[in-house]
Amino acid sequence: MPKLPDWKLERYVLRELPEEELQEINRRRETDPEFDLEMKQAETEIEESNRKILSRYSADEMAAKIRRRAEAAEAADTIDTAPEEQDRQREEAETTSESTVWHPVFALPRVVFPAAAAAALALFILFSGQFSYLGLPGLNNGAGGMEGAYESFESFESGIRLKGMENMEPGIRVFRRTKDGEAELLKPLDHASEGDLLQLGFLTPRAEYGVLFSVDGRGVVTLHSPSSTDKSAELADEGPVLLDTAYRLDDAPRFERFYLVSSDTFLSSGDVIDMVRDYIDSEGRLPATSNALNSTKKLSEISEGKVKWYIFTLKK
Amino acid sequence: MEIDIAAYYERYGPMVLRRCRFLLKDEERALDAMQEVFVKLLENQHRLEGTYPSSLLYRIATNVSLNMIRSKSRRKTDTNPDLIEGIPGSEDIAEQTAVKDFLDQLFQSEESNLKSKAFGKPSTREIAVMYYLDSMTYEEVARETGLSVSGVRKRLRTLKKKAIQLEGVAHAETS
Repeated sequence: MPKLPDWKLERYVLRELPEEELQEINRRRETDPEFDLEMKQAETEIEESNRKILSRYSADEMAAKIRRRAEAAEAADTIDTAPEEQDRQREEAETTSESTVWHPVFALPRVVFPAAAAAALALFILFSGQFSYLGLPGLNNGAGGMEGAYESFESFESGIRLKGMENMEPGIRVFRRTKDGEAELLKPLDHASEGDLLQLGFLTPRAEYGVLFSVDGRGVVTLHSPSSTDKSAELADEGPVLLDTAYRLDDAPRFERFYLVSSDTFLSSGDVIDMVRDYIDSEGRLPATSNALNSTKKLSEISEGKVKWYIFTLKK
Repeated sequence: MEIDIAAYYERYGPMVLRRCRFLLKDEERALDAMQEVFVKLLENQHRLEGTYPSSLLYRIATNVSLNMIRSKSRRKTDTNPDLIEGIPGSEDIAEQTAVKDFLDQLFQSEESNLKSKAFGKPSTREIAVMYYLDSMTYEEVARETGLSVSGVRKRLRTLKKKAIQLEGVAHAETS
């Protein structure tokens, strides 16, 4: 007699098979000793596996984690119903994205871009090595031991002119590569999907210290800039910063939320990440609006100077 | 009234984790998937009415795991047409793994939005997993997915054609 497939065995043990099938299996057990022995062994194995799993991952611990994740998911939805923040983010997006598509028009080596050429192309922020002092956004190992949210990082081509970075207000910019190789400036609350290739940029009010990180729908925190917690968060020049690598979104559900925290005095990315981790551990999630971020005392104490938080959420 | 997630986990969590482990072959990812399954259960608890939770949870676990596999299979480029011969009726674990890998390859190019399909309208991939990997009958697949038996047959027939095409392409590439 064939062994029961796993799915049927699991449901049999739980006594959640349709009555007819349940009785059929019981009849077989009564008439076929070999099958009955197999079933007894299988039931014992499942009971033992249940015991091990529940011992290793207790119900209390798992239930708490599941609730936190559910709350994070709800938080992503909450932003949809926070009209003031939504309006503010959309308004900001509209004022900075008259055209949402830009084109790779020439290639530049990944070196500091000559000042003369920069002046000639003053309308564009060039995606070149002038930003390389910030380093590459770290893979998982750069974020102080925190698990990364992204499965891989890939470079956008050099020499792409960016519409959407010029004359920008302080905050975060997110670009997505389209299928035809162009790039699209995303607006807050736009939808993004697993596999999307994104490029991040940001501008701080006075370009002194800035830390950019993200939290995904699983609550995983990823540091984007600086590249690791042992690198300085000090910004060398005024003006928008564009990270010099891009990355693909992974399959974390519901949202990817980017946070930028800036200060006019010393700011440590390690302190920021530690604080974020502690905050999420104690509160379940970070605030999902910039107003809430800026009015949360604990978050404003991350630096002695004037701290300002910005947020950018992509729905998934 | 919200379901008691601790009680549900205690009764069904081990089953869900075993399912995720089997499909993902990675403890951390399986644990992540298992939690996601219960989050989806919380979001869709109204679907529990009139059905066995184990049936619903098993299906959610399958789809959540398939979504995770899909993100990895994007990077896979090799094909092994010999696996086609191994599809039907595999019970051996190694063979089942090979079948799963083959299904990964087969659906590599599928662009349907699996992310949102924790359950609901079944994807062909989900049906294929139920039939080939879980050894369900047409009738059992139909019962699980809410499709008609003929609908299941049709989906699997189309899939078989695609598999044969894939085999042809792989054969042409190697000869």
